[in-house]
Amino acid sequence: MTAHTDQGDAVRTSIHVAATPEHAFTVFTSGIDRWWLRTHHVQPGELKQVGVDPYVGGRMWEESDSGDVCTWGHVLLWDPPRTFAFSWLIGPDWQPPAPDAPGSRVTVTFTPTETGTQVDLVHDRLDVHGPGWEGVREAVKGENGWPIFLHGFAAAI
Amino acid sequence: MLEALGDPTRRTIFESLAGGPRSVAEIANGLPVSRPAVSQHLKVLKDAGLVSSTSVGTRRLYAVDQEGLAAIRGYFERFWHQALAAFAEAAEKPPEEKT
Repeated sequence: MTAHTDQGDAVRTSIHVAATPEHAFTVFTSGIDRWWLRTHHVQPGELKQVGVDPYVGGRMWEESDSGDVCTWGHVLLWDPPRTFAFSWLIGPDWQPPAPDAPGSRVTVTFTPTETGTQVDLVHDRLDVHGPGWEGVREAVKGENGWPIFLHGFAAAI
Repeated sequence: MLEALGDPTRRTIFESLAGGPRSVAEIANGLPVSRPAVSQHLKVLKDAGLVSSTSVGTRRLYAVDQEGLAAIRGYFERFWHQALAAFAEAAEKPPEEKT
């Protein structure tokens, strides 16, 4: 069950899971490699692994099949099992971010319900990726539609 | 193009448009920057696709480019929609191997 709300420069998405907040938090963070979309990575080659360093200031990183590791964000909030937030340095072009790339912010909250956990995700400050807007617009308009990394998305729907 | 929001003044100008369209004079009013300088910053923001402008009578109003904003938001909305579905599936899987 998901819901979307349009608001300013933020994306809000929610989902309910039949699991405790503790378990949901663990799967979202230390278990990120279990659910991350394999088609989404910034380095050439295949994606080998995605990981989260479990502390504030820790890295959000990916490792390619050739062993190269790229940091694509940093942990901003680490408050298990309730709140996890990280910066997001990846532009819509999915290129390895520069060390000083501006970051948007992803905040995930885990709220217990009678039957499980409500997971609310807010990805805001999206305007920092603004310089890529032109490219996104062209990609959407173009004959080929979204770049290769969205093929998996289409297949999964 | 990547520098469009790197400049603090430009970022302030861009953020000042979040409340709605404004003229160069209105933008310059709240900043320690001359109107020509504001115009120059707006040109960079326009070239980057961040800001659009419209003429209302003799006034030119600048605003956040909603088409651009909608594109980027739509993109990430789709991304997270799919990612969270995959996450939920993983979270609801009964624990296996590791005890």
